[in-house]
Amino acid sequence: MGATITREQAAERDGSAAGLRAIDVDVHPQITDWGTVAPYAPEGLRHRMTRRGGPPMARHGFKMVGPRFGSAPAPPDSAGKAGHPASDPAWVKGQYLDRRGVDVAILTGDLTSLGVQPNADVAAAIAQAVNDWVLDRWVRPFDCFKGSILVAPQDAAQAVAEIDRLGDDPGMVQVLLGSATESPLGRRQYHPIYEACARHDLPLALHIGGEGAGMAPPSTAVGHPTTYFEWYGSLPQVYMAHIMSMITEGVFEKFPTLKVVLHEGGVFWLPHIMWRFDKNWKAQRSETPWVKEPPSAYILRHFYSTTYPLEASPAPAHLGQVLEMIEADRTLLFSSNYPNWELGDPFAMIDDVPEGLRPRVLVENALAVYGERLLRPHS
Amino acid sequence: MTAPNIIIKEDSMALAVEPREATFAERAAQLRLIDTDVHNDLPGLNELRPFLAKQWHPWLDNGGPGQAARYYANMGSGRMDDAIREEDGLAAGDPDWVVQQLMTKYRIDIGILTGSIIGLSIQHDYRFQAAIASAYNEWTLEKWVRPFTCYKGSIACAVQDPEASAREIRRLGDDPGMVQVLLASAARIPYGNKFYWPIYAAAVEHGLPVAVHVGSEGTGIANAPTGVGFPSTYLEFHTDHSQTMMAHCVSLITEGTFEEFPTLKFAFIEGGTCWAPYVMGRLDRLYPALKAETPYLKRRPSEYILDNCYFSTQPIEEPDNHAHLLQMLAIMKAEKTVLFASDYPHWDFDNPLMAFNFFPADLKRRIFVENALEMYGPRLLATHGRA
Amino acid sequence: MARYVVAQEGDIPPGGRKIVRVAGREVGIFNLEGTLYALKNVCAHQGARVCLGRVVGTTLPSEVYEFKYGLEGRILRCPWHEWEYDITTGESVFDPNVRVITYPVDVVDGEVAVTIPER
Repeated sequence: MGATITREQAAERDGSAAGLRAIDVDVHPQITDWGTVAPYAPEGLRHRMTRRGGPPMARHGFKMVGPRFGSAPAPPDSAGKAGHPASDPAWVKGQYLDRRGVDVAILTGDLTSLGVQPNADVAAAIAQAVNDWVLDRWVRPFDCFKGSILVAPQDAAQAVAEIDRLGDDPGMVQVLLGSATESPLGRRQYHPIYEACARHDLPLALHIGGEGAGMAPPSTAVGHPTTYFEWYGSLPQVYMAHIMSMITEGVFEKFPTLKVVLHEGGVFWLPHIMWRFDKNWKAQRSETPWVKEPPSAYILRHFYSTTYPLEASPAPAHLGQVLEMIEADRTLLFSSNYPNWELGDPFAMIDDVPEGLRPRVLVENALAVYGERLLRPHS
Repeated sequence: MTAPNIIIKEDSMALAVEPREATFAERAAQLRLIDTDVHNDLPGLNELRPFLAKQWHPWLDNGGPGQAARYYANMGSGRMDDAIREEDGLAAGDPDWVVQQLMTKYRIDIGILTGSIIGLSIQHDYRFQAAIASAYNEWTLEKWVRPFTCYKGSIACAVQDPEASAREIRRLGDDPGMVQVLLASAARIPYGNKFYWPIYAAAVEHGLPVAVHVGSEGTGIANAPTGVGFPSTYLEFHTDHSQTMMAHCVSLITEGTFEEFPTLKFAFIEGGTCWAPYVMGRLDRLYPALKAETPYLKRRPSEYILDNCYFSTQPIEEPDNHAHLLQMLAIMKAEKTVLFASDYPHWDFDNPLMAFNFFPADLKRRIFVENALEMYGPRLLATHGRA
Repeated sequence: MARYVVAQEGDIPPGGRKIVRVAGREVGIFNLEGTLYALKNVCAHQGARVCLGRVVGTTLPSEVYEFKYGLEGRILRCPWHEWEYDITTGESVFDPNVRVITYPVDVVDGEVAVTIPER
């Protein structure tokens, strides 16, 4: 397992960790002008980025109705046109991170449907361009921002090349995949990506958002939802499918150090699938004899959940109980989903997290997952 | 695999069971257990020939109709090997055999039949499947329900044709032996969609609950078994099943199905229970911000779950720590929402005499008897055959 | 402890089994290639009569995507939830701490006997 550090060890190293207040593992920088991204694309495909509105991207039709961003800081208004609250890194740092006491923010981008775009070469080029754009504009100028290596899984070879290209960059702390995929992520065409994650000791982040777009199957097992509400409410189900697939296909037997962070999926479903999966495994283990431990052991050891949005509990005690079941003292990470705060303020979201767990969720668990990369100066 | 050489002493077969009461208790207080998921076997589609209009008989010829079939295979037989009857090689091919193997042994008073062909709703030819559904319902009534008061029937329908389904529900909706409408969880479109509302209109008209039962995912016209495509193994496939339940549940709520049909009761059968807190908690979290898109919703999503939805136990989740299961059940108010189901004679049968031993007695009583009585109503106690 | 004669040696040929009721419980006697084993007829899970299950082999714990079939004739698979038990030890394949109760068996003068603790 790669180097993981405690708050105390971190403090000894650079003196800055002791006072850490919060690490936010999910901040979405917004690309508002693809013209700024195109120069970072590989030359042969740069022309595909410069068309109006950006590169060709299949989209689904699910979009929130009503006012957006909730209590996220209102963007500056220039010439009567409001900007996007996540388009300018300095502004995000000043208005969100500094004001709310966030010391480190991991950037997760806004290209969650990249993995279901039909043209694998364009998708890989987009990933490469966006990664360099993020590094150049957000990460390298600011120690507080850490980058994710976005990859397009359609062509695992190109994804691996991208991980190898940036895997040792001090500003990059994880590999990022949209959870919308053609197939469940345990299937073996994806394994080279995990091998590369393990080789560079990088956690893998999955992020919902592209479900139902492009080559993706309908976003639920029973077909396309009707509304954004239904679509978003159902999305944790794709995490369940990915978890089952990755464990069943032996991903964690092959790559025992791999950690997977699940963004924006909540936690209340985890006990159900841990227990259901264990029960079925006891019966059906002979089908996949390399799965040597109860699936819940792999889940608790390899998967991490994030706080935005935690489920609304009918009573605070219930949240505490569920967090105990999923060993949230190790497995739950604070995320804000900045600037998409429609569902509530990210700090209010954790109001009912038991007091004793709060430092773990806000700081220590992220340090344990990401290790010293998270605090390494890189700017 | 060779057939084991089993030598069993005659006298060793007797099990310690209470002698069965001669007649059904009419009063709920006397009921001990209601099983909401008993799979009576149909030995073959040809059995339905006498119930099928002549025009469809050619479909049954030449080895039977083309039927899309599942390809994920259980590592064992998929059935309770100890319940198979020698005469027909089936565990639930004969109603008296099931009385003996299930009802008597586990002290079950009422068994709701969920049959063995719900997958008809993901077959391609909806016209033929609607005919099969009607024939199957007649067969169920004649062979199982009418002769035995302990069995109650489910109205199977070709869900892919909602109009035909509604006709079938209206045809049988007042039969005292039928207690619900049954849908397969595998589907092309989530069950809250307006496409299906004619089915619910007919069900509500006859005061019938609707039950969705897992099965046939990824087969025929159904979607892939998950929102990200096809799993590789039966272990995954079977574990994935509950996702279809969640998707239908989210759909039923967010589409406003329970606003359109406030008296509709919906049961989720064989998906387990503990996923309901996720649906309640996530949708409640989203509701204040997202209700602008769904102005027809008048209540918090969890309220529809608590008032309109029921969840069957089987396969009951089995955490090492029993307290955890009870905590999850408390979140979903299992004392109102959970029904017992055995899934006899399938391999993942839950034994009611053991699986719930650590449940508080009052909760167990709610799950074993009272919630089912509340959901199904007086029909469940109608006398229509011999005990 | 009490010893109960439950069968004649010839009653249970190799590959065969006999289920008997003795001392208030059911016990399955299995003959694996000439050696007898006695297991209580109760699955550790939900109490199924486990000794009515099929005797099979199974895939042994292996490397990823490797299939090693073995223990043919030694695995008792519960007729309900398919939990696999090693007949020689009573231990389940997925966790040796999960087991079916076993009893000592011996054969004296052609008589098969199991030794069962007092209740």
